[in-house]
Amino acid sequence: MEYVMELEGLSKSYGEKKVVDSFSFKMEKGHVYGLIGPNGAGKTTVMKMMAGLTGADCGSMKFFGSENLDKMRERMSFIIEEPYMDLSMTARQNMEYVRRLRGIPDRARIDELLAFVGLGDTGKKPAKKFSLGMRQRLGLAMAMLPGPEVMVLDEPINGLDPEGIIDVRNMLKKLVNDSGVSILISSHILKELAELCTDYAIIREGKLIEELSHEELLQKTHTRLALQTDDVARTATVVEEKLNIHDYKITHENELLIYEGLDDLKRISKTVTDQGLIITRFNLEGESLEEYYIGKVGDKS
Amino acid sequence: MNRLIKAESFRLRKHVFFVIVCAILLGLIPTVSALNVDLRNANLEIQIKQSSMIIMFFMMIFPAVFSSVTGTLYDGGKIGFYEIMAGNKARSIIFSKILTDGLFFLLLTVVSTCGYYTYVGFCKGVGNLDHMAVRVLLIILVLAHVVFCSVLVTLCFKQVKTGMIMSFMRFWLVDILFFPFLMWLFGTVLNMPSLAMHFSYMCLTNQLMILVSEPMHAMITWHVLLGFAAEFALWYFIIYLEFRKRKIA
Repeated sequence: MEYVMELEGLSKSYGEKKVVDSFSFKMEKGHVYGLIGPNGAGKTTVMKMMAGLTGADCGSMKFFGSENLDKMRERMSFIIEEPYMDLSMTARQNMEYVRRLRGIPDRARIDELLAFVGLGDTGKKPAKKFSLGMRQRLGLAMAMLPGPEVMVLDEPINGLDPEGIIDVRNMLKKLVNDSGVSILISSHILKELAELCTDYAIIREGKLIEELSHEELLQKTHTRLALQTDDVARTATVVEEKLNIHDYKITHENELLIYEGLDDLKRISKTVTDQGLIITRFNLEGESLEEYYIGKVGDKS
Repeated sequence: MNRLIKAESFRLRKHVFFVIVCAILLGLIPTVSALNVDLRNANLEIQIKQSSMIIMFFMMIFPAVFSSVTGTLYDGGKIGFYEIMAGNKARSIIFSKILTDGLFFLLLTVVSTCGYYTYVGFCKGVGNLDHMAVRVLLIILVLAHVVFCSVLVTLCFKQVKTGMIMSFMRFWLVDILFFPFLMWLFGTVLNMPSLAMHFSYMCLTNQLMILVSEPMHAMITWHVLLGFAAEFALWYFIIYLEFRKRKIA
């Protein structure tokens, strides 16, 4: 396995408060990792350490197998907290600054990327007049400009409208598919992460509490039957008395979620309809990432 | 470091407003001197002896102006963080600021001050001043001291305003309080007048006054050189430690 990033026992305190506590994490090449955790869990601090914007009290980091972090950061891009940019300059000027800083000879790439993120026609408008969504897009374009092998993105879809979120998701998917970029991304929109990520790392109170792949998540999330009928109360009675199923719950949407006896769906269906109930929804489904995450960290988020 | 210099120069060029403000401020010295009717036909020696107030003004205000420009460039939208995130070493980042912002401000300062007084020297004569070439070189060094240290002071502070205030306060703290205190301590209390004199020569205002109005001697040369080197090293060390804090333990 080839790791692009290896963090070992990172800890960081601000005064008495320990914000990152023995955090260890490995990131495989070509994977998209979602870093998930409640506010104040230490996600941004960990990412700042990766970017070199803050130091760790103890622990070690390796990028691309090397401890020469500064050298390796040349192969990486970061968006931490918010997209950094000179607000008095235009989108193109900000891109030109990054092009010079990173020593990229191809000036045409600026136009390509600005068009790619939908900012090709912003002209002489300074970045201070951009909406938050436009700044996020510009930040992404600035991060993509050096053609990084690893991108560390802290809440990159914050402030984007639904269309913008879909655009960014597609952009990142394209980057991963076309260029094999490895991405570490944090977001509060877990539904989006579930669409994008191949792996998840759950952090709470500065500690990594679980690391799992998308496949592992699917295995771990309990499969359940979502059953909706014309009379949910009578359906619950039928399920308990006729099918002897007790592991179920009724949702606010008058839906019955059944967690046992799922190996014989025909029996459930037949028994319910035999009792004169009309089935309006019969769907086998898994827990969402959000539900799984809530189950792990509680309701603190 | 080439990339850092290219990127910083690009941003400096894109902030025309700051360049104009600097040019106006720096133009004050020749303008104020030129407007003084009594000095219109005076030679260089008389003009610079009469300009002590302008020099004081320059020493107090200009570092804060330079600091505001450097600070805004570095901290504006936190874009300066890209320099760190792109894997540049602290040393390269610090020297790139000196070689772009520092040299740019130094050039403005030298052109506006030395340029004007060179013109006076050629047109109206230099009076009794000797060793003009050495004097001009040392004055440029003192100006470099002010400008470079103002850039370095700015980099020490996260907030632009703090950097500006500290650049301004540096003059009061060092030239008005610290060195005069040492002069009083060693000259009056400890009765070591020669040491007190060395401290007196370390004040930038004193250095400038000696260079423009008193006979040249080797000691002032050494004080200009050592004072510059010592303060530059001090600020460089402080900033370097700040950057090092960010590195992994």
